[in-house]
Amino acid sequence: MTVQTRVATALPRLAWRNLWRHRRRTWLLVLVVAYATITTILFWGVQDGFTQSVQVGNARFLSAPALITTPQYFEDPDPEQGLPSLDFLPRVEAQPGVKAAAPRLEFPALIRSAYTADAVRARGVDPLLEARVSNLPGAIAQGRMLEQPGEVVLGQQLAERLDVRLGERVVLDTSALAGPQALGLRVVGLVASGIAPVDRGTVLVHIQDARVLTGLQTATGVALDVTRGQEARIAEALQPVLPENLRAYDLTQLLGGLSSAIGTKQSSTFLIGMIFSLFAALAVTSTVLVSVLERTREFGMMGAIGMTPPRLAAMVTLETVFATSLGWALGLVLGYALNYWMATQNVLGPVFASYGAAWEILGTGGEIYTAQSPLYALYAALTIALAALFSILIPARRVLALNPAEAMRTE
Amino acid sequence: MFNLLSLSWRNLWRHRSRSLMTAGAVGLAVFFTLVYLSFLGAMENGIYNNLTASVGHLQVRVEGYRDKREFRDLLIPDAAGVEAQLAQKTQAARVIALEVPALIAGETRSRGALLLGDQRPPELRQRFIQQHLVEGALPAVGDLEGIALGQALAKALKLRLGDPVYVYAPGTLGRGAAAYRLVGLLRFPDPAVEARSAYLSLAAAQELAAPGSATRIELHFPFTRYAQDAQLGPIQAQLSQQLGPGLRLESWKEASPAIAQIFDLLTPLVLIFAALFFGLAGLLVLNTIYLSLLERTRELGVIVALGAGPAQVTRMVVLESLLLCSSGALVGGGLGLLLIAALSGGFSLEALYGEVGGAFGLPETIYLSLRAWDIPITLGFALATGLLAAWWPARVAASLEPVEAMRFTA
Amino acid sequence: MNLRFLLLLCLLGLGPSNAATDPQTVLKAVVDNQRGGSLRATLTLSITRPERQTQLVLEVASDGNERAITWVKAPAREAGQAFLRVGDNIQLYSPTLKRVLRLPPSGRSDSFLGSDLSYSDLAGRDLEQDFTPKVEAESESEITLELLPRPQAPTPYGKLVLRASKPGFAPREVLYYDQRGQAVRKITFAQWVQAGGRSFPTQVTVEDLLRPGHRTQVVYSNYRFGLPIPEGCFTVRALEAGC
Repeated sequence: MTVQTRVATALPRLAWRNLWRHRRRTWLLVLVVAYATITTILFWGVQDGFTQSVQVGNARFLSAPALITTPQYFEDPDPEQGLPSLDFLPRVEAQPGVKAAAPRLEFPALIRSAYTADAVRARGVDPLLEARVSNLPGAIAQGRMLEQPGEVVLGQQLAERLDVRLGERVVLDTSALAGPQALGLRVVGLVASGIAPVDRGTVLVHIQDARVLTGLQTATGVALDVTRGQEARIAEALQPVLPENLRAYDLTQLLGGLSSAIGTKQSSTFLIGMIFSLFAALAVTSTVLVSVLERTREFGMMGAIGMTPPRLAAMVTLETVFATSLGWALGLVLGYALNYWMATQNVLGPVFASYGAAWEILGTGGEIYTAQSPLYALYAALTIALAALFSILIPARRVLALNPAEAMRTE
Repeated sequence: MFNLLSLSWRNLWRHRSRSLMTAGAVGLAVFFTLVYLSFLGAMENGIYNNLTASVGHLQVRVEGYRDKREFRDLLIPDAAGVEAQLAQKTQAARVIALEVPALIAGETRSRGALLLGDQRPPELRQRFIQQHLVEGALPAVGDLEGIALGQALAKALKLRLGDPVYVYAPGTLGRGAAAYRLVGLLRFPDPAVEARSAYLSLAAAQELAAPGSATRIELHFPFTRYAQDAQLGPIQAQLSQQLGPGLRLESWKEASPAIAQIFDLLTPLVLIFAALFFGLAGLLVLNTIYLSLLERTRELGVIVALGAGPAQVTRMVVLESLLLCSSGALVGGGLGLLLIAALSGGFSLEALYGEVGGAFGLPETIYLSLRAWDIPITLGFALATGLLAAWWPARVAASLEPVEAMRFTA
Repeated sequence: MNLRFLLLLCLLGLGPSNAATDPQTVLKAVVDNQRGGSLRATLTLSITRPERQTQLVLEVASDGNERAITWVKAPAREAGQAFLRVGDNIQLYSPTLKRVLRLPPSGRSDSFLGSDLSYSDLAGRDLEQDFTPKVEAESESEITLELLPRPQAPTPYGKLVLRASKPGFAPREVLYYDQRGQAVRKITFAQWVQAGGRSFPTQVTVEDLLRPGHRTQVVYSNYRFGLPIPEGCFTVRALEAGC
């Protein structure tokens, strides 16, 4: 190493060595910072994950990430307002961001068992495509998803209400473009999603059967699987590709009032997150402050042997930066690991079951996963940086104004 | 002990700023936990209030109503008489409701729906309007011509405000059919419910399907806190005796047991959050105690050389920690309680959630409230933190070699 | 060659008796007896429940095939209502509303005017369309058919057991089973009258086997078979005006 480099790196190296001379003190600071980082990551992971599960619940169970229908259908969801043709499908599928396009035929119907009858809203689907735009096939708790015409999948609570078991036949009656029609369908699967409207109201039939029943030969809408978070943008980009009389609606438009509820919840979450960050920052600040104040005597000694106050202040700053960065890195590793665990295993579901029951209608279901985002590292870093900065300012000024002789006599 | 206490206290005061900061941290943890707990208490109360506002605390129904299918079997005859009887025995607000499965038709389209006719006191009516009315108005009391429909139902029937609505309810005891005017549109969180909902005044529904009868009578008590729910038990038993044969009084918990579970499950959530806050504070306390120990190593060495045993040293460390935590807890707790008391008159969450919150069952006004065990638990956390944080430094202190310690330089 | 001759002999030998127990033919004969032919009649519906009894008087005109029109004559509260069934389309007239309403599937509870009859019981040839018959038992005076639903047939029942008298194949009883082997509904026929080569049951009792004490009895009186029924009878106008 050249002389200049040695001189330039002297302070950092000194700072680093200092850290390890006071191992326990350093570890404490590292621990506090790591803890603050971990809790920040988890807090945001849980909050975002909760919001996400509401959105996913709606997008993937009740509705669709994006839906192409006639504007008349949007106002009046009846097979009478179905799509005039499905010719535009290949163009839509070719659009960037669109991962799958599944035609759907939804219609009001009466479902009958040998014991009772109930009014439902049935959905005719293409079994293979539907799995790509909806989580319903994955939520089938008993039996399997439909494969061919003549089969039906029901929500578990609906099946209980009708007193119908797997393998039994139910009758679906409807009256649309072809007049009153009825079909007997075999129950092949039962859906249990933890989302009340889904479990109470799902009736999935093959789109062929739906066409026979309603007399509509196309579909009432095309559900799209698009890149998450890009729904609105892609829906708009689709407009030019669609025929004159069709529109693409994204999730926020489909949800209506619910999306503004989510929006306001986001802002309140931010507020709580800020409070949380403040608390974490305070913890860091006090730790740094305490550990720096402790070494007043030591600084006095260093001042006496020739270290100028500015350099001393710089060294203290460096030590703090190193220690907090270490803590932040450690916190990131542990925090993201924990977050990953909670994002893939349904750890939170039972814990949130209490909120889940109350928010059941919003579509959270029994499974709650945390969200993952590099942003959380940023939140944590900001919190800690601010805290550390603040916590250095005070002792740094002290250090600058240090009188070595006095300092050495401190206890 | 006296010596140890004053010794510990003096130790703390020797490093005023450090002690203050740490105690402050503990105090902050206590403060935040109490405030958070009171928020949760408020949410619990809010959910409770919302739920009981929509279904009542107690309901009078026909015996075995869940298994009955025929409309006539579900009827409570002479509903007004039953209500009057109950009115003599309780101050609770009473809602009389009649549910009629019926066919609802517009000009060209018709759908099967569930018609509800009810009569509610003004506050409950106002609340219903706030939560569910989107456009127009709810049919007035005694209105025989107005009807309100779920938005989705009105859309499906292609109806707009002012249009005539035809209702057909065969096999019932009243007129069996009637024409109304659409006066209001309603929204419900569950789209399936919205597509099958229609509202009439009680008088109109009775005239249509069952003169003088109802399918349920709800009793709404002026409770605002979940804790008050315990009073229902004896009231329920007493009022049940008033009812005639064939009728049953059911509590809201019996009517929807799944939702009743919410309240039992809120606690774990609280404890987790509290643990998070106290974890942070605990680390701080640990930090402080340990540092102070390190500083006084020589001094401790002297004390041990003078005859203090490991037990005494441990006790000193633990006592310091506890003193730190409890003083912080007292101040933080005091401030927290002050804040909660100030806000317990109720403040509005509208700023945060907007009106949409109301539609989804979130309380609009928050009444912060602490439950009986909230304070002891929080203080318990604080003390536990103090004890835990002291454990390790105490061990270190107890195992000090006096001679080594006296030579120690920080 | 010998084999073929033997086969022919067997077929000839079996021929006549085969025709007698061909389940499809038997079923058609039963349904013909139950509905076949145009009919005008007065129906008295007696609805029995554990705590009460109700009576309705209806007048019906049917072409024996896909169309039927029914007017409610008594009691006074229900009188004036009328139902027109053309195929699976049902329209009703309400004198209170002075309107004709279409009855969509979602609006059809399984109960016609609060009785144990469903809307599909009133007319239609569902038995033939939706089921495959098989002879279960046969004696000198009676034949029992087991009816199993065709694939995708719009019926929630697991099987039907139909008893008819021989000869003539007048229906005696139909038992409706759910898909778990439990009988949920029983329809009993009695008081047959001979008209135009058919044995028409003028007393039909529908029993809900899941709810003891729930029973509806339909008695036909003032019946006239084979009369030509004008087309105008099966229009919306006839609901209010009669024909």
